Amino acid sequence: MQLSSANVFAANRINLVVAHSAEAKPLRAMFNLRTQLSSRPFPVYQNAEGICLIVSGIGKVWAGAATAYLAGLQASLPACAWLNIGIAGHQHAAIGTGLLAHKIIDAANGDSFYPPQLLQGLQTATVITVAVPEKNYPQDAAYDMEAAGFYACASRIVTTELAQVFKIVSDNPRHTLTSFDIAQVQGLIEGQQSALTRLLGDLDAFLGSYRKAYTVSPVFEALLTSYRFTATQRVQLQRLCERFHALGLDPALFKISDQQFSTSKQLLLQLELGLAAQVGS
Amino acid sequence: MKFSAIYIEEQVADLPRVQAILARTASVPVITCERYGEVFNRKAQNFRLQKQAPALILASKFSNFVLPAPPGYGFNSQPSFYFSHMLNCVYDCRYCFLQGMYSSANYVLFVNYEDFGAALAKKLATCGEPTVFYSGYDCDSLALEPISRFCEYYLPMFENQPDATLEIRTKSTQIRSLLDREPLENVVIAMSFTPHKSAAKWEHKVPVIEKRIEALRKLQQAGWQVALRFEPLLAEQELTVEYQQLFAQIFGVLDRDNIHSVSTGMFRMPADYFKKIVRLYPDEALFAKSTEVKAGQIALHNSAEADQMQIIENELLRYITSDRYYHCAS
Repeated sequence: MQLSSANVFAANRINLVVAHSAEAKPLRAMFNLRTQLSSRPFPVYQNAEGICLIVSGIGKVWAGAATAYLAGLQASLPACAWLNIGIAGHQHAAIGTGLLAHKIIDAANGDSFYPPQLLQGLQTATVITVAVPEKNYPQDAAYDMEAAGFYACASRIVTTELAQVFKIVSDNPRHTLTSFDIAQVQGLIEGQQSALTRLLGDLDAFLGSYRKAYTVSPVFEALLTSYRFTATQRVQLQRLCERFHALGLDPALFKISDQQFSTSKQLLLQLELGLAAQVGS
Repeated sequence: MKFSAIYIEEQVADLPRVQAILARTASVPVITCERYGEVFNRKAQNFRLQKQAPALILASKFSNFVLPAPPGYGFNSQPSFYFSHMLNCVYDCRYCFLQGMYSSANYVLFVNYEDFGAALAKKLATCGEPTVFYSGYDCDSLALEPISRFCEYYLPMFENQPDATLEIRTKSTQIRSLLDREPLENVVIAMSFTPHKSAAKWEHKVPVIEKRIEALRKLQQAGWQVALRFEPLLAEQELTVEYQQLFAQIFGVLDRDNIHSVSTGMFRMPADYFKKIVRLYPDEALFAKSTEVKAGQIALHNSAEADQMQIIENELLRYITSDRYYHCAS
């Protein structure tokens, strides 16, 4: 099924990336997520409040691929926040503990990532991404199989403050993976519902302040469709629109943009002159 | 002082100074890293968002401990140097060049004070003529004093060094460590001010003007040398009137005969820093004004700048003698 991404994801704000359908299931119920894309290449779910969920499959390569795929579907839309949610083993944390990643290590190559710690009030931990399930838990850290792949990709899509990783402890030396049943995932994730709700709310607030600061003017968008601009002119136009807005001169901007000019060059000149008339050349 | 997290370079984690800093900070995530650049210099960071909850990074610096001060920076033509035991400032002044200099708003505190000390001692021993050392170029030296204990370590280095002057540039009122010790004749506490309207608009998280004046009064009373820095002057309507009011307020409280120096300086910034800041704050009115390039630096266009500057200087010279005044060129 191929959808028009601009329409489907227009309201999108937060993207969740999970590895397994067992992790997706309780989140779909929690946030009332409906199917948007069926199984191939990755299932995608969404709700009306702008939360989107993609199921990547297990492993860092699939996590990165699914992140990139969803970003591609949303390429023409404003920046979103990204959150990888999943289960993880831990050296000593109790089963069911929710942990926000403060450092992510890719065990295969030693690469490290440091998600900025803007979200307060959650227990944090280092997350080590491994290729096969870790049964010995050698370090004081959570062990997962996706975070490094997700983060390597997400940090190329959005500013790192808006990309985070949240893991829920599913196994530790006292409750090892051998005794773990996939059916337990639902309970583990449901047990973190309040933390997840708060986490998404906080991420959404940061996204809100980010979008407020960087959303381009609708006048800019409208003028782009009315004239032909070179890449340089486009940058000039955007900055001129920003300057009018920053100086509280939107009415003057509207007035000029309502006029008809033969070329984009003439429009830009008029905007320059209009601004100079207001603030001095 | 609350941080969102504390990053610690592995090599300094066991230093007593680091352990003491951890003991002085609230419980926040403590995260180890190999080198501070892994956190601080990464791309895809947003300075503006990070300013909402900055982290502290405890690191070690390997070289360039003491550097020549930029030309035109400072109060005379003596040889001058600066040193930065810290990168970034706890305040959030919209006109500050640090926003364009660093990718991250986190604070880096270099905890190998002894290496800075050795470099300073070497420079002090080889100067051979009166020399000025500036602290507070890449940070505010006093603002993090309760955590860093900067004064406790660095001030004794300037005792019995009559040829050396240390200027601590600040907007902070964290002066307890200074008041708790004997003043040093060759250490100057230089407080920066802009008029009330500018401060309210652009100096976020900075102590209010009244508190800064009060801090200077206490320092003066305790025998410390104090200086006034009126930088940057930002072209605004009623600028000269605002400065008249500010000068009257400051000189009405301080002992004007006991002020080490007073300076003014315009808004200037390297063009590439300015570009970066504009991308960070596209909605900021200050950066939306017309600009021009002057000697390779971005300046706000102001056709009345020279006249305004003259009025402000004349007003200033009503309070202080001209030998204690300078105009900062950089």
